[in-house]
Amino acid sequence: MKISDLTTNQLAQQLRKRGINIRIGPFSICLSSRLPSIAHNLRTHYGAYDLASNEDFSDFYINLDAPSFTRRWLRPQVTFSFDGHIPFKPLPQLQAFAMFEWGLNWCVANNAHHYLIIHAAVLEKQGKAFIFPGTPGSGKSTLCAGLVTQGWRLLSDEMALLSLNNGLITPIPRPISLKNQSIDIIKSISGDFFIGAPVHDTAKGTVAHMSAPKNSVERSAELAKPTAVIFPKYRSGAKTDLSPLSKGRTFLALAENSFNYHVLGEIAFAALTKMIDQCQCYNFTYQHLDNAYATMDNLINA
Amino acid sequence: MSNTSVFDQCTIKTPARACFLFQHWDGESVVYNNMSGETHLLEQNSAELLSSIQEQPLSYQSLLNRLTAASSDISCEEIANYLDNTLAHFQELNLVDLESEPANSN
Repeated sequence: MKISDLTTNQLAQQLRKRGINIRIGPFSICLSSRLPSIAHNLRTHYGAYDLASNEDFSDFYINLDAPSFTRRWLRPQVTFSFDGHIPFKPLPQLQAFAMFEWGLNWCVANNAHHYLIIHAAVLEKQGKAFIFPGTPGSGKSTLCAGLVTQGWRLLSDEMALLSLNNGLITPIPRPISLKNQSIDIIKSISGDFFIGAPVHDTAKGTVAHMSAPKNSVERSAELAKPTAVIFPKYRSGAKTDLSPLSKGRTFLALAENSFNYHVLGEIAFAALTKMIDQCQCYNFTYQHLDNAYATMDNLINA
Repeated sequence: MSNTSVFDQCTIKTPARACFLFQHWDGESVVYNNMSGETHLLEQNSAELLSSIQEQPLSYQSLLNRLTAASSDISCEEIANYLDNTLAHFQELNLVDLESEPANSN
């Protein structure tokens, strides 16, 4: 059964009562909430995801609710709780769905240590997975969303899950978090891809989520071999430029971009050296998405 | 050579319980230090020097002799400068410890 098989009312009812158990990539998330906006956004952005039975094991137990009775009405807020703990301060309730996305990132990054987790988008075409590590403002999510509109499979917009036992990337396709100017850029080219209403004044500015393609969600169990690591940099007025980056420097940058390299230690060193051995590594500067698509397609076909 | 190195009369060794992991690519190396959990990017030549020190503690003179034997076209002074700079860098990164040699050491 998929989330879209439920009406928004049915979903809201289940979220209120027992919570629902969603399969997102390799994880089961038990989510409960009394907030109508969570039911609405889940159905919109996670309609294609499988619902597991509530009796099944869940990796993460997440609740999103108002912190107090009065905060349901008076300057409404939302609190994120994970396994009964509240790791963050409450946010304005209008940011509830964004908080779910950020909180789930936090849960995975801090707990899924059977993967080496790198802050990066991952996209796949013709069996080749490209890893796009990104710092805020690098244009990672814009490039990721653009490539998705061109038919690339989305493995993740936010984190590369490198399996420690086989060196493959495990998909965790979820909504792509677009920020500020990139929202309008992607809206102008997104066609049938759904982009939710923008939420203003978040810690990251204005944020809107673009749903993951249904096809990418359905292929969540298909692991992919990483073949390139590309550090994107959006720069206004810049010419498209793809420059080789040494494997040593790529290693250091990925270790710095990893959420748990320091936790895994020697295991992470071994996994990362093995991955980089089989990857081409580049710095990539771009302004126009059309040129970026052409460059990535050339790399795929090379 | 006119100048005496600060490392002269020293045995250079890796810290107790340290076990470095190396990966070399195209003249560069990444080195994982199990004691600090840090990873460093070194020139491959430097990393190979560190690897030699990891295999067994070596005197400064012994390291200098090895490098001189492997680099016939470079002056002794340049090699000594390179070794001094490299060892100083290793010290900054806590990759080596120094031990003063006994007065009668070779």
